[in-house]
Amino acid sequence: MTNAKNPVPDPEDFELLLPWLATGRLEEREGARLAAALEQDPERARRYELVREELAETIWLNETSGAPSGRAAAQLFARIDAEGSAPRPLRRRVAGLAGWLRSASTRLGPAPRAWIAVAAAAVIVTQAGFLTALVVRNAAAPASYQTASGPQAGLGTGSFALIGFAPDATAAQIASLLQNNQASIVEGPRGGLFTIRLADRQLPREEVERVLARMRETSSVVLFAAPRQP
Amino acid sequence: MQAVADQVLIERIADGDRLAMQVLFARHHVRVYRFALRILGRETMAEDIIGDVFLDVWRQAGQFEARSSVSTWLLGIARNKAYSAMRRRSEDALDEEAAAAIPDSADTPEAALQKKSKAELLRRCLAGLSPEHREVVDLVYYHEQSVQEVSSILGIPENTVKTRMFYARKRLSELLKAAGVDRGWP
Repeated sequence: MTNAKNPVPDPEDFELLLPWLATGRLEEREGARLAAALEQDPERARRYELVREELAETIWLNETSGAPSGRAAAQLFARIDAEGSAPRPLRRRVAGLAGWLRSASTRLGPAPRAWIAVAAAAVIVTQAGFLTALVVRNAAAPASYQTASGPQAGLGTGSFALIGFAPDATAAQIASLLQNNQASIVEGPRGGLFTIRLADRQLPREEVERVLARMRETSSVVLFAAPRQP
Repeated sequence: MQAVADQVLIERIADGDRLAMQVLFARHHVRVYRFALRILGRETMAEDIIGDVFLDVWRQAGQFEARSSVSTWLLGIARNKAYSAMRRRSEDALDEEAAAAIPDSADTPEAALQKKSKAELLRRCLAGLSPEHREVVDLVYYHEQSVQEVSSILGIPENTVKTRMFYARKRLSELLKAAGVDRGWP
C-alpha cells in the first residue's frame, strides 16, 4: 500500500503502525512489509528512529515512577486468606488445556503446530512446577499435611526454617535458592511464610544459622528467614 | 511463552492455588500499579487499585476465557477500577500529592531548552501529554500492547487506537518544537 512516487508515507498506512513495529507487536506479515519499507527509504528509517526514541523514554519514565510498597501485597493476601478458596478438581482443568492443545495442533498447519508444540512444552514445564505447588497447597490445610506415605502430624525429624519470599521473586529464583541450599518446601504458605526443610537430620544451631544467613544474602528473593522447631 | 504460562497460572488460580496467585502477582503487579498511578496520580490509591484488581482475579479466574492475554485483562480491570475511583474522588479533593503528579508546565521553552539532553526534554514532553494521549502511549510503548489489545482495554475501535497514537505522537512533536527541538515530523 506504499506509494512509490511519494516517499512520505500515508499516515493511514505506514506512520500509524510504526509504534507497534518498534515494540514487535505487529503481525509477522505486516511487520515484514514495514521493515522492508524502512530499508528502502532513509527518511522512513529516520522517522522510525524517532519512534524508538519515544519508546526508550516512555520506558524510562515508567520504570522510574516507583513501585508499590509491600502493603499492597500484604493486604491482598490477607483478603484472599479471609475469603478462603473453593478449589476445583485439578486433573479436569489440566486435561482440558491439554485437550485443547491436541485439538488445535490437528486443525492447524505446520507453522502454527510448531508454536503449539512450544506452548505445550511450556505447559508441561509449568505443570510440573504446579503439581509440586499443589502438594504444598494441600499441605497448608489446617493441622496436618500429607506425604506419599500417608497422613502425618507435625514436620517429622530434621532441621526446618520459616521463610518469606520477596513479592518480585520469580519461581525460577526460588527454585534455584532451594536447590543451592539443598532445601525443600514442606509446608505453607501460612501468613505469607513457608516452612522449608534444610536437612533430614537435626543440624547444629550454628549450621542452621549459617545456611539461613546465606539465604538472607539473596535479598531479592528472601525477605525473611528464621529457624523453626519441628 | 509467558502468555501461555500466564494462562496456566490463571487455571491454577481458578482451582484456588494461592501460590499461583503469588506468582501472577509478582509478575504483573508493578506494571498494573504504574498504569493505575498514571491515571490516578496518587500512590496510595494506585496501591489500593492493585489489591482490588488481583482480588478480582482471585475471584473470577474461572471466568477468564483467554480471548485476550492475561496482561491485557489485568490492565483492562485496572483501568475500570481506576476510573471508578477517580469518579468517586471529587476535584475538590485533589490534594498536594496529586497536584505534584501533574506535569509542571511552568517552564518556558527557554527554560526547557536548558535541560541537558534531548532525552530529558523528550521525557518532559511525554509527561506533558494529555491523560488520554499519555495513556495510549504508555499502553503501546511500556505495556507493549497490540492494536487489538489497546482497543480492548480502552473500549475503542482499532482504527481509533492507531489514530489516537498518531495524534499523541504528533502532539509530542509540537511540544518538542515549542521547546526548541524540531524533529522534522510530522
